[in-house]
Amino acid sequence: MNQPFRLPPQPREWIDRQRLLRFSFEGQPYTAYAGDTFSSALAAHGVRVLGRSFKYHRPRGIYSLANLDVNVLLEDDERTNLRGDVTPVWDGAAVRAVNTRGGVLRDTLRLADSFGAFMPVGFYYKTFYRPRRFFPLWERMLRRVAGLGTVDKRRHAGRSANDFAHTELLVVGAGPAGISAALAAAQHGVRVCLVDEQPTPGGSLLYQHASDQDAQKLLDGLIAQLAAEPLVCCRLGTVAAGYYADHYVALVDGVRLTRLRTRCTVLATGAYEQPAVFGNNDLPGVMLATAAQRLIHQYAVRPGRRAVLLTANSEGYAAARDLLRAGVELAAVVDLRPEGDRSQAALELAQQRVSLFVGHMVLAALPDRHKLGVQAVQVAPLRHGRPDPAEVKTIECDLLAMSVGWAPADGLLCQAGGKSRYSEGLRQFVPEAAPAGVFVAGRLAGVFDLSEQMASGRRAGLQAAAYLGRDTGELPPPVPSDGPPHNHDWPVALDGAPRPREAKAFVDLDEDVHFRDLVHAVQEGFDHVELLKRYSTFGMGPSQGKLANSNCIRILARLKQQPVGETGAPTARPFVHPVPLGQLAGRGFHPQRQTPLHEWHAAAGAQWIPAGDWLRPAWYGQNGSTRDEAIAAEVRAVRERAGLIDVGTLGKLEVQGRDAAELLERIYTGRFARMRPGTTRYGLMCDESGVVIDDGVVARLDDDRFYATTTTTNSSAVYRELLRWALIWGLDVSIVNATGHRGAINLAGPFAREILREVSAMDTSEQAFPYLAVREVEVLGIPARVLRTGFVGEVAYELHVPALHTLSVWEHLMAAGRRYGLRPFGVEAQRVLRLEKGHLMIGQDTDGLTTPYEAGLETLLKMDKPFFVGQRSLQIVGRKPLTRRLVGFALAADWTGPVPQECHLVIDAGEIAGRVTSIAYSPTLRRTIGLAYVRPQQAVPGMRFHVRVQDGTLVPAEVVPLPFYDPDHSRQRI
Amino acid sequence: MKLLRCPINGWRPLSEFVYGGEVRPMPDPTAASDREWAEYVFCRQGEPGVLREWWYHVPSGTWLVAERDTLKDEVRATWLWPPPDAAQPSPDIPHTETAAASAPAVEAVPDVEVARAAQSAPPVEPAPSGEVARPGEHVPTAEATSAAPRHAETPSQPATQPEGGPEARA
Repeated sequence: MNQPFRLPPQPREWIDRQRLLRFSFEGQPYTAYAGDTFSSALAAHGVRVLGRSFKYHRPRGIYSLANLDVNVLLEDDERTNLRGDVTPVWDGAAVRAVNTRGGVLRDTLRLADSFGAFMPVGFYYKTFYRPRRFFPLWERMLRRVAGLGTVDKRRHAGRSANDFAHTELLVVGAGPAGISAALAAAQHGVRVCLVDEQPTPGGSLLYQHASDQDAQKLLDGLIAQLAAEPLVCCRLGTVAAGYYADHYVALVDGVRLTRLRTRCTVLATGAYEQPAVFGNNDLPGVMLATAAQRLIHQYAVRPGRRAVLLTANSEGYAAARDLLRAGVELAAVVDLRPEGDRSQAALELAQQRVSLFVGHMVLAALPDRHKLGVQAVQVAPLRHGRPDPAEVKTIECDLLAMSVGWAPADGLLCQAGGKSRYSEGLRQFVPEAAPAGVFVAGRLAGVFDLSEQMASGRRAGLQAAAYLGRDTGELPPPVPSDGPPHNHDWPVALDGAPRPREAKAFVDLDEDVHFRDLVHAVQEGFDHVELLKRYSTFGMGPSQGKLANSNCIRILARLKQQPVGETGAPTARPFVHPVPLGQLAGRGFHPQRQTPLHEWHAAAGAQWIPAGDWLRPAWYGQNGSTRDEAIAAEVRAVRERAGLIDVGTLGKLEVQGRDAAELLERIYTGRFARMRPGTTRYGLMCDESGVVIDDGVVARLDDDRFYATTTTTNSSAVYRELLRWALIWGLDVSIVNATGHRGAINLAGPFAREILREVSAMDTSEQAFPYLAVREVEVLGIPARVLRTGFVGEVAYELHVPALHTLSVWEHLMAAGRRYGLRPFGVEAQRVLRLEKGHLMIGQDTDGLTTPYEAGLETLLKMDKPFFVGQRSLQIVGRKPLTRRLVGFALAADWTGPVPQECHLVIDAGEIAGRVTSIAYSPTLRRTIGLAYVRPQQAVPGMRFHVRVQDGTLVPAEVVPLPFYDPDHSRQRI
Repeated sequence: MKLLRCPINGWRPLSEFVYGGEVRPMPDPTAASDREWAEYVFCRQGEPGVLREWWYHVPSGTWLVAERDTLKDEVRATWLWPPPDAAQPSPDIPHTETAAASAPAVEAVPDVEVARAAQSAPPVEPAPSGEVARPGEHVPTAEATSAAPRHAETPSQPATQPEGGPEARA
């Protein structure tokens, strides 16, 4: 299969002619060489239509070939939105253009283009919002017609890697300036990371200066020096995609996202070549001059047969010379400038009698018969800056290359906090101020001459070395960047007044925004650059305005008759190129905590439930029982025999020192200062606004030694706040977060005492070890703190033992309890048990606004204490009428209808009166019980209210006094 | 991601820290009116400018105070508590009579996160710029450290707020 546009080998071509690849595009077979991208391979076959546009479905082809546009978006059966310009061909690939109906050549959606006149700017905003109920229909319809590729939701992409890196100096851009900067800094001992998105170092030397022998010798030298410099680490094919605070940079390659922390940065990101704006400037065959040069020098592909070159700078003449050398017939060079050009390349072209139109502009490109590519261009002389339609010449060609200006690639600079200003001399934005530790070089800094670019790179590298404290001596003088301009200030063929049968002249190819859209948007009042951007959507496509912003700003400035510098530029945000979400997500590093008994639970069939950072057994799936059966059996075991639960996730704080009691006295709402050693007390904690934030058991081990538990999810926060208050108050106390240091086991049930006796010699009689006491004893020879607690409402012992020995204690207890019917129980059974006792759970039965008065905890407030956190606020709150109250409720024992769930609403006279916070079927009471917020006047036992469930049914419930079970607490102090 | 200088651990990424809000002195709860107290509890300084903020270094359990320009998002200095010229952070709260505070013997503390609370750490002198590990960071300068804390003069604070001077609290 021949490739009719393939050139003979070029000195620096990226393709490997020994390795032939086969692929298909739109069902047709093609060949490529290794190193070809899809676009270059198809161009070698003379295929011009490579995609369809986003909105009008116009045919599109190669435009920048540098990832500055998304004309060529491909998909295969697995992936979508592959950028054909930069995606290498792989053998056997079968790709097609995204979002066409009937293929890229006969896309039936192209009709949208003919209706363009009826779809002015903002058309969608103005049309498809009413009637409102039709919106889902409009949305589905528009999504089918407009847009890009379709994601295959069944496909599971593998997790991508995520890594971290550090360097002293990051250099972005491996062109002449960037390489010079890296080498200059490395010579002063600086460790450098050099990043470039292209697979090969060299930047513009690879295509703009490719036919210049001296420049190529220079490049060989630079590459050799790079290879010999051990301090420079090159990362090619890598995009520096985002710049974050304190020199934190996201590097993205095809495989991973690297978070790089650098101490300083040289930005040598270069400039994006900008298109001209004229009718049909998006036709396949119209492209940037650098795209034609990249085709020739990097891929050895002849970009066309007969070319017209539109230019406004000397780079255009060099490109024209490259076209001639590549065997392209040069029909004309059209120069916007009346004075033409005096460069060496211009002289050579003049000698070769290329027809030259100075002071001319391309008015429009004319499509071929099938409207699939450029066939000719209309050229007109400029009179007072406007093309004169009376003197139009038509020149046949199949390639129109544009070289009218450059926009600095200052996205990273702006993200880093740098500022740009418009230089009237250069007719472009140039960096004005860079933040500390960021230095700019090369064409980004407005330096266009090759040797000056290298000088500015060297200077930036030395600046960076000096910033890092290296002795660089005196810095060379700054490289001037003051013209002559390489930009034209109005590379636009149109003006305010529309012409009859005017072809669309695009300013943003991604979003199909054309010149007339901007005119209309400004007429409608969207005349600020950020407003115009959002209304017309220029710069909002996947390329983020790399080829659009510059022209849009010029057009807006002209429409508003103000200088470009006053118009400003839209804000640049991360990322420079879109980054796949999967790569951003990467692998998660959130730690999952496990208690010392985790393996035991797993072996016993535990079903897990997350609790803060922890995993806890929700219930144990023994003998194939269902969830509800298992929970009911676990509840029964605790009520009738004995149960064992792992409570090692509770926060555990050691509070010691002369002022330990004083600190707790000020933190908790109750009294702790006069507690006797060997006792425990329930502690409630509020924040400064009087909202309940945590609870736990506080044990006094000694006069100056306390041991406090916190809720599982709050332990870090409570520890943190205790530290802070102790610091502020200057108390003599030390606080240790021993949460991971100890395991904790709760043994509960009528036989708990008997089981504990089997493993411990301690006196467990009610007199020696009463309810709410704490003992430091040895259990199985292991030092343990044993607390008599009552959360589940039976005789219960909580054993806090060193983490290392927790499993041994648990296993001995299980063995000793076998003949008593002991079984492990999980979080779900515990929730039912504590609900039967009416014990609330902070965070489940309270929310971010709950006061102790609302939660029915006012008896725990010692308002006559000198101080506790939240006390002063609660004095104010206590004087105000309550708006809600937490109550216990029960459904009728014979209720068979739908059962409410947590967060279902309490409805009173058709209005929301509260919500259910906990609800469960109580196997003990044989009815469904729960906790709910209701209106204070409803909070009387016997009152009835309704809960609205998912399907709208109102379920009757009755307020019941708490606790539901064992109201005189006789069972936990036998 | 930003870096923050912990006075104990040096420059650490912000993800290791928890924000603790603005450093604001608590008015005397026995003297403050309801309105003044509500101002203290609920109203926050929203005006951009130089603020003193609490930050907590999680891995080491260190509370510190950072002086930050919230307009420029630049940290000008960090200190262990208390920062220089801090207004009295809390009114004197009378100590509750404790049962007994005689036993000084404290058993060895397990080797985990040890609170620094008892140390009542002295203010760390801002490092002279030569000592700072990373150039380019704003190091505390004499100008930054001697500037009066701005929150003490903002109008949104209650007028009767006690502004006790830097009192030595052992």
